[in-house]
Amino acid sequence: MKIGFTPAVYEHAARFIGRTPWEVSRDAALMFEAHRRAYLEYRHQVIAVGIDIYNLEAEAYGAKIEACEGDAIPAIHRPLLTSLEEGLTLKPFDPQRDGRIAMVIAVGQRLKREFPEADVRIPVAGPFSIAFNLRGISTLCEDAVLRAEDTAKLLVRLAENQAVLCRAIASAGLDVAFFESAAAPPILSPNLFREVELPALKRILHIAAECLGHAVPCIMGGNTYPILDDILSTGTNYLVCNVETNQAAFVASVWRTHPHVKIRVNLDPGVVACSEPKRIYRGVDRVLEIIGDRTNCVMGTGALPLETPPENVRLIREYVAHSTPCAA
Amino acid sequence: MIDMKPLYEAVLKGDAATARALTEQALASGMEPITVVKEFMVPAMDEVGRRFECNEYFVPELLLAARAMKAALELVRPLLVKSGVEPQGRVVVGTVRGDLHDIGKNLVAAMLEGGGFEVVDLGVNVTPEKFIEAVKAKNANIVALSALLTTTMPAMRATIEAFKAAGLRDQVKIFVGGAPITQKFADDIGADGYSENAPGAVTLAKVHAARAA
Repeated sequence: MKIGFTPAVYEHAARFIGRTPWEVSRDAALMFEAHRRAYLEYRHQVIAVGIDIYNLEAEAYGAKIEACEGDAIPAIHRPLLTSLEEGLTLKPFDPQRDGRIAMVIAVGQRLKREFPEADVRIPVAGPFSIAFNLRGISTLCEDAVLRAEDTAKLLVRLAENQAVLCRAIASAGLDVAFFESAAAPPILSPNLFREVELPALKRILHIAAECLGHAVPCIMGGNTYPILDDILSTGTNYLVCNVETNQAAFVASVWRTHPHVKIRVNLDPGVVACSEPKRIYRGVDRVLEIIGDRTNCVMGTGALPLETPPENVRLIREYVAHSTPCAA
Repeated sequence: MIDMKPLYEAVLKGDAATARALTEQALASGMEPITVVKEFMVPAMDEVGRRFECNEYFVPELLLAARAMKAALELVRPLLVKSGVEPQGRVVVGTVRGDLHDIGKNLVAAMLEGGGFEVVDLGVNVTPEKFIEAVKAKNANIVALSALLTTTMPAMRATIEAFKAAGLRDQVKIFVGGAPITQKFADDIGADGYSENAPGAVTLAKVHAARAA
């Protein structure tokens, strides 16, 4: 059985053109060229267009991304929302006008023309990821405990506001790469996840599926095994099995209950970035053992760090192909 | 004798207002500030750390408990200083140069404060020079370096090297942590300790403080 290998390339694309993540994140021509070269090198399953993909919506709402130098990844320093109430009345942004979203969609369209066979997707952040940037993580965590009901309302509002973005992506002939990092343990407890995040997560995945005409992947970071059944209840057709969770139990559980749901089983990012081939092989073998003969799994990585040597990614791809030769 | 168990509970539950009010009462009743800290606040934060390790508490509970502890400590700290009581240690905390992420660093700073340490939080994107300046200015004996990005991990090594170059390496213990950091990396760069979470960082600092005592 052949097992696919697909790295997640965001800021890592910048290294292919020798420019900083900051430069590439704000220039359509550089972003196109960076992702074009990354795709030519890796031929990964999904081109998720962007560099600092977590910042797009928050910036469109008005948050300021601080300029940064060197290898630093652009980030938001000052939360836009000083209170939950401000968030509860937040109007949707205009994807044609606000922030860099129109630019990212245009780059996606250009990449799709360049590589018609590629699965080109535009990042769509989940409500917790957006709130994280708008409110600040510490404040949002406190909100979640002290004002759970209002926080859940804020997240549902942010989810509903994403409809305009999903529609713009669909109109552009592209697909959605949905991700919702940080809403899982240890940031939120399973109970808090269910109370505060799950209704909004269901809502956004429903909205995205409606706009696109099919279910969308739910890429979620953290220790997701304790909330796996809840994530599956959203109707998603694709999950990520992170290195932070019990990967063996996660994969076995999905295979048992939802064998039609695809899983990207991630390698340890430390292994992907390391300079010792033997350690890389051990890391790959570990994931291959977890996957076994389950046909719903591919091997992947979390977001590849900028400095990951492309030869490591090549090494992994070749080793995976060599280790699973039957259908190669 | 005033019942202080509710102070322990208030910190544990992250109820800052109650923690502060009970501390005020305790101090007004004549309880020694150091007793309030050692008998009630620190044990509460130890329990918070234990619950986090056991997946009974998560990041929000940790943040709230630390906030409650901080609210109570604000009342006690000036009295401790006045009476000449030294903190368990002085820790300079910061996210290293090039890295703008602060949640891990904030948690470590809050938990260390809760553990009875004096904390100097330098914020994010901190240069080696700033760490060195702060250690000198505050006479700190521990430095805690945080990084979330693999791209900024080398800045940890650079900071440690800068301490060597400044002739201060033997005066401080340098601990590292953050999502991409491992024990192996900590060993490779010559750090004195590594923890994968905030409660673990407090344990490291306490072990060091006990050895130094």
